[in-house]
Amino acid sequence: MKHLFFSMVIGLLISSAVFAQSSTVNANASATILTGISCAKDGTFFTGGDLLFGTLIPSATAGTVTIAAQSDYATSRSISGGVTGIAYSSSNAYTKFGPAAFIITGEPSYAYSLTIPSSSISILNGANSMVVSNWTCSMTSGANTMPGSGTKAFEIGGKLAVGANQVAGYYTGEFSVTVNY
Amino acid sequence: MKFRILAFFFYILCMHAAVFAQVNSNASATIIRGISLSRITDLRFGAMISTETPGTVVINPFDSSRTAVGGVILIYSDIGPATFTIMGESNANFILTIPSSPINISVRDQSMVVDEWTSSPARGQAQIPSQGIMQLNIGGTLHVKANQAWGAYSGSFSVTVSYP
Repeated sequence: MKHLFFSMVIGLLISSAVFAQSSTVNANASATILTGISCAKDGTFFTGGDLLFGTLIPSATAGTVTIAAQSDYATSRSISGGVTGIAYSSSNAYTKFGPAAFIITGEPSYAYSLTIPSSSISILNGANSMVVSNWTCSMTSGANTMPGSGTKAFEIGGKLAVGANQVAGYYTGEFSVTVNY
Repeated sequence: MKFRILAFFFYILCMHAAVFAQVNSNASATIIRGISLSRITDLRFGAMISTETPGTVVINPFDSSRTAVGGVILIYSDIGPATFTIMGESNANFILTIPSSPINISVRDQSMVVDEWTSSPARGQAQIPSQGIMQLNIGGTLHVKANQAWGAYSGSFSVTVSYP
């Protein structure tokens, strides 16, 4: 009888163990689709988004023209050496000067990286050229975080080297900026 | 006669001994630990950009890697398989059940499908190691539609472990 009672207790233990025989857990699966990041010239900016050094007069002495990376385009140009800058006149589009302006659009509050030119470029007029270097940017290049608005504007400046008796003409060249997550 | 009575008692003692032995073998079954499953992390496909071409993103449960095929651009972010801890009786066999059909993950009125579920250990019968604890990783395949709308998509799935 004592043994029978013992085996009944055992039977209860076994049946209570059945309840812990299985365990189910829920988990989430997640993915985030980001707004694509893009960078475009700001066509509404004074310069139309391009870096413009304006109209310049060379001399027998070489000189440099520097455009600062700032939204106040009117005070952005500084000149040294034997170069004379012609003041901006609304009647002559070639006299416009100011920094390049861009707008980045992307995922709000998300990390991204901005790359600006690091080496010099040549701007050309036929066989003649000048060099633009010393690039500056109104924001930190490299790692950044997108503002909550999802847009970020910035300017880029640089330094133009004008040679002695630089040949007259319209000089143009290209540079690029890159943004990526 | 006296001898026969003794023999009878002996016979009864033997029966009792046999019953007792049977009880003991039942007792060893009661010490099986219940099996438990607890979640550590969710299945994270991470951040990506959709393009005009559809694509798929796979999370590998074995090396926790993420790979993309087609027109989806992966962005550095927190990614990885769903991870769980399984605890149970050392060396016991158990049955692992992971999703076998697709689920939708969604945001607003948008959705994406997750399917082709994979796991380490594989679904079906597996064995708890001698330490009584093991990790379970679950991966899958995310289908990103062309121009999939932006947003943080999520959905739920369930996993079961049970003794056979």
